[in-house]
Amino acid sequence: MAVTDTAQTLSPRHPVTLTPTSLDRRLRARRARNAWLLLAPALLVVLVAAAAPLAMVLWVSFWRVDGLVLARTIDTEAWASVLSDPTFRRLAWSTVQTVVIVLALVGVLGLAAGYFLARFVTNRKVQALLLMLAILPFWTSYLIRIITWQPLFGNSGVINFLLAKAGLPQMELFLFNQRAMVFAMTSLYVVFVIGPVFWALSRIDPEVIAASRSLGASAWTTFRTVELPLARGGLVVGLFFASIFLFGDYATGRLIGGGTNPMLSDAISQYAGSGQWPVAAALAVVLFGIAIVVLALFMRVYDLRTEL
Amino acid sequence: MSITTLANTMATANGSGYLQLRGVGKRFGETVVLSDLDIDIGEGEFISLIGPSGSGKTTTLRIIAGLESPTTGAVLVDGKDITALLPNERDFAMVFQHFALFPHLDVFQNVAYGLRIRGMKKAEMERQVLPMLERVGLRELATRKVGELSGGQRQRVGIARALIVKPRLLLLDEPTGSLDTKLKLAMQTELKALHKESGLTFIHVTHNQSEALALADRVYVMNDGRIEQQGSPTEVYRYPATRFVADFVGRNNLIDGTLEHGSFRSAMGTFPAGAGAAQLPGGAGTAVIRADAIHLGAAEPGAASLPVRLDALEYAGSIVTWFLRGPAGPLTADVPADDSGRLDPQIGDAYEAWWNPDDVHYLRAETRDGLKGG
Ligand SMILES: Nc1ncnc2c1ncn2[C@@H]1O[C@H](COP(=O)(O)OP(=O)(O)OP(=O)(O)O)[C@@H](O)[C@H]1O
Ligand SMILES: [Mg+2]
Repeated sequence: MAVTDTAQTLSPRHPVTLTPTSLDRRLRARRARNAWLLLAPALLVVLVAAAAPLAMVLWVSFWRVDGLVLARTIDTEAWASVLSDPTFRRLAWSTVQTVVIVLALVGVLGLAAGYFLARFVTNRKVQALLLMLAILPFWTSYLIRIITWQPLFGNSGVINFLLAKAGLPQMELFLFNQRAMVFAMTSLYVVFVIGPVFWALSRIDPEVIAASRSLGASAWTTFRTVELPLARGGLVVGLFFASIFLFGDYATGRLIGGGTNPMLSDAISQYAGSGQWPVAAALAVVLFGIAIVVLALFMRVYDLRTEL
Repeated sequence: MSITTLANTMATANGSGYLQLRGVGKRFGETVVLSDLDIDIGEGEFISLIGPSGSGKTTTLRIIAGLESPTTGAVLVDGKDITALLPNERDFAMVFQHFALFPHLDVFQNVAYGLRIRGMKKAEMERQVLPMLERVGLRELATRKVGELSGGQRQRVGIARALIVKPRLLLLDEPTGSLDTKLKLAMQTELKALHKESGLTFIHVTHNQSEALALADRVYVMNDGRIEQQGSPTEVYRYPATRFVADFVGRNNLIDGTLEHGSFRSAMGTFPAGAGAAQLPGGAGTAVIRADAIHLGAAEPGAASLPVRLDALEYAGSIVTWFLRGPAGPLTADVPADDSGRLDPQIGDAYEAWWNPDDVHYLRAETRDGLKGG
């Protein structure tokens, strides 16, 4: 009450049109408008390229295949078979398994390689060169990779040759099995972790590490208590992107894994290829769901928004 | 070898010799940053390293801390060579010039870090950290992220973080560098008190000479990667050993000339040489006259005096600095404000400047030339 009174008695004598609060309000309104303007193009792209197709996929999963004809109805046949057939459950499980294994490998190796790049390679040019090398697998086709791996990992390849020389038992074929697939995926996606981890580690002030050491921490303790927490954002961002690619990667499994450990994504492409669109769509929705759950788990471990 | 042994004996005779730097040199690529540093520090001493920016003070501290390895020479503690020890194997802690706080930890966690990595229990940690925070006036900010602190607050976190591990030696790199004058004085008092109470050895780096003179038991003056002079603050202040020290420490007037038969001849004039000349044989030299030893107005009998003109004035509290022009160059005088007021100074007016010849300190010309030689 008293406050309003003062305001009323003051206003005639002080004809201030812009009190700090109204300036504040105007600034905030302008910020909001600018934010929407900046966001609009990207939002449009997301709507057209992601949201609409997703809705479409969801719709297709309720269609029905009559012989060779697609019927645009609302039918739960595809969903019923996807949810009841244990094959699909096994497929989903092995997909999650593969993704987790590869993410673990990619995380550890990426952390080690990123640390090596940031701390042991002092020359900036060499750093850039090595990072480029890590991206190299993306530039070679699967065919070339298999051809080049054959002499190394094949039954009569270099590894078995060396094992034999050393008098050790030979390894079974290192191509066209799950091990080969995990290996290939790791080599492909580790760069997603190396990059951000390297970047995060490079951003750490060397004085902060020096401070930790001078307070009595060993190099390992410093890594655990200072560098790892400060690079965690980079690690999670890297794993986040790697997992997005992993869920969708059916080619590696088919071409290098030899189809021995099919991923959900592989099944989707096969059903779609044979005209079974509703089942493919239902599987796609399931895969999308799994991916969302995994990404949500990442978010729980580390709030990505603080890093992006 | 025999020189080293001699130095060693002398150090022991001094009753010092807790920490020694022997012929320490440091090169980064082609750049020589430190050359042939000899430092000798006794247990419990408060040492200041002073010198201009880039003179190698931080590098010296980093070598002592083990964060940088010397290109030549050795670091000794209690006579044992520790040059090869890792920073965490030395019982030292450092306060960094640019704070170097852990950005992912809050104030409490920053201070507690040294205890945490030693595996201390949480309750015990709190028992030690909270009083420490109290002591540096950060108790209310315990849960603040360090990114949200002012420069002075960060500095205090840095000091608390180093003190809490109870190191045998505390290395302070410009601990008052980012504080305003008032806080700076408060922090100086606090540092002095901390030193007294803890009995630790402090090595303190600053380019603020008045801070060094106020705090230190002993001062090392550095220039261009070398020690120019070491001694008590009074010694360094009153009897600078080189032209550089005379120029850097305090406010001194340097007049080049020649000493002969009890008088000092220079382009400014010929003056009675005073007692300071007794230590020097005749010949070329430099007279060092502190700005506060120069008076204006009627000269006392026996004083050295010369005519000057007033160029400019600077008021700094109880002291007024007169920038004067003598017959052959400038002269600076720090005059007590009262005396200055009585003289009613007018820019451009002529005055008589004078000093007691016994207040003059002389540098041999060789010292001056030998400085940069190598
Ligand atoms: N890592 C490095 N590589 C190359 N040169 C360096 C390196 N560290 C320091 N220097 C050089 O060594 C010299 C001394 O540096 P230092 O930091 O010890 O000076 P300082 O006396 O602490 O100066 P300030 O008062 O500005 O802090 C400077 O010329 C600096 O450029
Ligand atoms: Mg420095």
